[in-house]
Amino acid sequence: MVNPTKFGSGQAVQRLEDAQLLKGAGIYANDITPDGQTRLCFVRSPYAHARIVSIDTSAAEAMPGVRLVVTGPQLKDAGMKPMPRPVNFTRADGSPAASPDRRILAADRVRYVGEAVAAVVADTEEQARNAAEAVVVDFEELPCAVTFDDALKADAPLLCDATDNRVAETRYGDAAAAAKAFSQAAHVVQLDITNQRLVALTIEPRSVLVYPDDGRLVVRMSTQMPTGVRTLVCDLLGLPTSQVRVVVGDVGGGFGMKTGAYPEDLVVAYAAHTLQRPVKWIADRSEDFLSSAHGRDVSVKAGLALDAQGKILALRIDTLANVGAYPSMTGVAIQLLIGPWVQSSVYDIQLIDFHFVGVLTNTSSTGAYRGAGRPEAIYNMERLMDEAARQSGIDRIELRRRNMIAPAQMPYKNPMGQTYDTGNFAAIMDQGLAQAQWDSFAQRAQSSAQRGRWRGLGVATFLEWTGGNALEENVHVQVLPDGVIEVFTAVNAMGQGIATSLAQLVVDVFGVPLSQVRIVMGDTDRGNGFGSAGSRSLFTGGSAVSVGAKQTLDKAQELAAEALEASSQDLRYEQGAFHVVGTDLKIGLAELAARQPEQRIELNSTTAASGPTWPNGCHVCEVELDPQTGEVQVVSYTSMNDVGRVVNPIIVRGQLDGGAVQGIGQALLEEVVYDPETGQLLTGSLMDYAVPHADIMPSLFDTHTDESIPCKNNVLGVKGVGELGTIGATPAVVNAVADALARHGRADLSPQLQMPLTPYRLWRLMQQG
Amino acid sequence: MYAFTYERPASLGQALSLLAAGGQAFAGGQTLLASMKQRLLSPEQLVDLSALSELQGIRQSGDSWMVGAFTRHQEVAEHAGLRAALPGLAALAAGIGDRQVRAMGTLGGSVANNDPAACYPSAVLALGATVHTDRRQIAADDFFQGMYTTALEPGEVITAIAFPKALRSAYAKFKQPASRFALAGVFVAQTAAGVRVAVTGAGNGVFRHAGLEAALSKSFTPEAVADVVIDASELNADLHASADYRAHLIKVQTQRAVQQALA
Amino acid sequence: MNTSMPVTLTVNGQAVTLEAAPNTLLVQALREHLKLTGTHVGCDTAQCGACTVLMNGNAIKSCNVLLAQAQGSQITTIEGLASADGALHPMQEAFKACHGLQCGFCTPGMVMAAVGFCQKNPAVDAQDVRHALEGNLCRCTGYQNIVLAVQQGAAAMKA
Repeated sequence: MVNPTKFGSGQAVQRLEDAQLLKGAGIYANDITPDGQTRLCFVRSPYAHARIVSIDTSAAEAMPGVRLVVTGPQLKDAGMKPMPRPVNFTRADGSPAASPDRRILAADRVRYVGEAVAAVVADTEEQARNAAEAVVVDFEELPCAVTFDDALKADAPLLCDATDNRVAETRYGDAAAAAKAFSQAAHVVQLDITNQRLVALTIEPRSVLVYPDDGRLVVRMSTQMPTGVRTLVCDLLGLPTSQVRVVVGDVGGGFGMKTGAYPEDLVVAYAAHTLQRPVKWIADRSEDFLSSAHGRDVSVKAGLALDAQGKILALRIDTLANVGAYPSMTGVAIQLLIGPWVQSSVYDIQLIDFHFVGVLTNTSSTGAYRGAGRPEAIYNMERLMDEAARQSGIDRIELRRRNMIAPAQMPYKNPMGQTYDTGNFAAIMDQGLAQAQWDSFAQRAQSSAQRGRWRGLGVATFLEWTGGNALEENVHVQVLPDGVIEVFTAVNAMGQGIATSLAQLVVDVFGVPLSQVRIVMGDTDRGNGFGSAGSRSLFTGGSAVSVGAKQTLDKAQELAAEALEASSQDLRYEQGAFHVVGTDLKIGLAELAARQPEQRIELNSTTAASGPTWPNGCHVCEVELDPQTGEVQVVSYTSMNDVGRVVNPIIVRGQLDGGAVQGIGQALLEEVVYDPETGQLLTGSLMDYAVPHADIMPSLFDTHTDESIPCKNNVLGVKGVGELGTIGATPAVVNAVADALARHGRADLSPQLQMPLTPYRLWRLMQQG
Repeated sequence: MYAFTYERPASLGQALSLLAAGGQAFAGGQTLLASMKQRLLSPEQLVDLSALSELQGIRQSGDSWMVGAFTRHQEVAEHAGLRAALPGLAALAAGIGDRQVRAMGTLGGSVANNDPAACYPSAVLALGATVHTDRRQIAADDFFQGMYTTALEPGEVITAIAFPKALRSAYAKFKQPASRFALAGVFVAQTAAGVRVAVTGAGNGVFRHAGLEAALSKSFTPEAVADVVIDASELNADLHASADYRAHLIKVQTQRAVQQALA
Repeated sequence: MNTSMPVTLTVNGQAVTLEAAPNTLLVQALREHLKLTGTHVGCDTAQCGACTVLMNGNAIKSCNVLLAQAQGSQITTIEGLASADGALHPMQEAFKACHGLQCGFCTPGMVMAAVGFCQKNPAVDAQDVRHALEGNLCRCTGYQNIVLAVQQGAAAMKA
């Protein structure tokens, strides 16, 4: 980086976003109310599986304020296409992935409780709700399949026209060779692991406003991927992309749940287009529980074969992934492809036998949720390692060390064909353990014991993959006549502070005050790209910003040379102005821009990273377990993280810690539960779905980064950080609980530990034996 | 919410007329509004009791503390006299919901609603309080009649609750992790006459436990209840806890309440 | 039946009389009638606290209070914290300095809850803060920096 300044990269710069947000001046989708705005309310199925016999909208249509009532059958008859299906995956017999048509409003059948069958648009929210209640839907209830067992049994109710409810399958590795290794191994560990279903619980629910503007349709939406939304709106409504604009203001949390467009979003667009009026839909919290994309939900049979010294011989993973009634491309890929990419993690394992099956059930679709496949894989691996340590008697740190990939092996190709560019996993582990004061745990355990608590120590050493498989980004850089450097990039803000980090990269190049940099995002009229997901925004967007900024400065230098009638080589750039060396001649950026025919200096630039990034870490957690009640509390959480170069250390720590608390939530509190018989959502509100509150931990995180191992796949040397904390936390916490039990003679229980480790579940487990 | 009309009567008499005509009594609204927003309830008229001075105030009355029905939880929690005389009651109030709920929710609203997992009913029952209404006084033992059911007649309004002083009192609540209501909340009160123990959250409504009371009346120590059997057969089972677990928690929370009371 | 009725209250120091249907929640009055969109709605069970404002100095959840209940009261929303010249309130400054917000959606409610608490409790330790904020959910920050911010804000408010 050139010109390190007080506000350049590496500095703990306060965020640019904050003053407005703190004053309540943030502009979220629900904060805009165009004249003539109408509100939309959905009619949702109370059944998990049913045929739609008929829908009577006559009463609803006659109610006050109602502008439009539309049903699934009507849209189907009018030729509305279904949503895109998962492609690029196959079933076991090689035939294409099998899933039902997902219509934006259900036409023939509903397949999960909460699926929308009709929509009402009225002048006020209350009127829309009243009219929605007056829509009469005649359903013929069908048998439903909610659990894996019920979905896969011989006479299971089928969700689509296939012979069974298996959407798609993938297999990797060498089953026969692995079987041989298992049969000869000195130690074999088998675990049944559940990674339970979660909701993202963005505090801002799904929000979308669509309005006509000068012959076009404007979609103002809380989304991570405006370009993808535009594509889908255009596709389904039959509009050219020039006629649809997607604008994103402030987004109140995404976590992967707001990637892609939902059927509801398309209904809103349809309604606005049909009525030529603004139509707004803001999901209730209960709607988000019912029908936002859920996370995780896999059932795993995991096996590890080791030799007598604890060297891993083979890894076997057999996973059923519940993709819901209407699998998305993302939901299937996460479990069948992306998670598997990191399954062997930081360990030198070359012999694998992986089998992943996506299963249809009468539940909401699953999709990306912070980590998206990697938390599941890492949780499997780290549970296996600790169990292997217990079974073999080899110390769990020593076991990890013996199996870790060494720096000399970089670049390392893992058994899924993924190449790690760089990493020093043992060094990160040693630093993490030292920070966590691993060796003095016994003293702390004693003080816990004096208060009647069982203390446990858990560790997770792991890596992850970032990028969302989209390594390219474009930027549009402009130096403006008022001296502002404006950069448009198609990555998207959702709370991760990306505007600040990108602005710091611009400061690195131009050496101007931060206040002179403006980052613009979230407008398909200005630019398009993949959006923000998979912790890609900094390494792809940031690289493009950095490269684009440098190219713009180079261009400016040429223009300055002309303006000063000097040779470009005789110019020196310093903090906003070009000087002719050895003279008083100079010209500032603002003046230079003003002199140009277009009144600006601008440049479009595209940069691609040469590969994904592989951030990694060592997370150490201590818990206290109350044996009387089964209650577990995390009492300390220390981590050493390799995220490559750090642009903004406070933002990075905020991502790690915030992510970790979501992981702690999964480990101890959260679960989406459906009634196995009826498919009713039992955890349909915060009254039954437990999440971390401010009292989740009595202490502060101790979070560190090691910047000495920059990423080799992008010019910045950064590695994605947004999901790393979430990925490390679930195994660190659960391993700590297992450790607490083991230290009190209950090592027998550790294989049975399943998240969430609620007080009731743990107490019940402890009553055994 | 569905539409309704709203009245804020200035006198108890006016309020009673409106309630007799079918109006819904409305205090802090923390429970009622939540149900109405879900469209689970649709009263046609809300009768806001906040202007009735007859329902306000905390004062000593002989050997009891009279707490007005329209007293917010935070007022009970912060009242110096109550904290000294009935620390269990004040601490219970300080643990209801969160600060925002405590600024609005009222004693009368909570007791009249009798949510099976609400905290206050356990204090009223364990302390052997007397519920004063516009027309009579009702002993705690007669007041709570099951889930969301009390001895109140239609249109009858709680005006105050008289809490007799106790030698020792404490409340220990084990929270349901999502709602943070009581999964099992135990209020223990020791008076010259003996010990009363009331349990909320675990059954179809608040109840006393004879076995725990007998053990603690003999010896007011946590160890004293170690052998008491808590029958799980009438206790709730749901997503968050089995009946057995609730039975176990009742005992644990009783011990913790006693420990607090002795501290 | 839903004919409107007048409610008079003071919002951020300004007296207003609003004509609204009785079933109008305080948060709806603030957002829709007064266009104060800084107060947010994040749930439907009055548990997330994103809608927190001060009513007569007490933090309350405006999604669970009728406008009618605010008759005659003093309401302070997030928009009322900064001073007239735009200078941030010490609590807002503290959140900014401590990276106590990420997406910002829970933030107005979180800040108002913090201000309400610290106005009544000048000396606060981390545990007090964690307990005081039980009614405010944040999904982004993990609360760590919020706790630090509130302690810093409390100290600055005292000064």
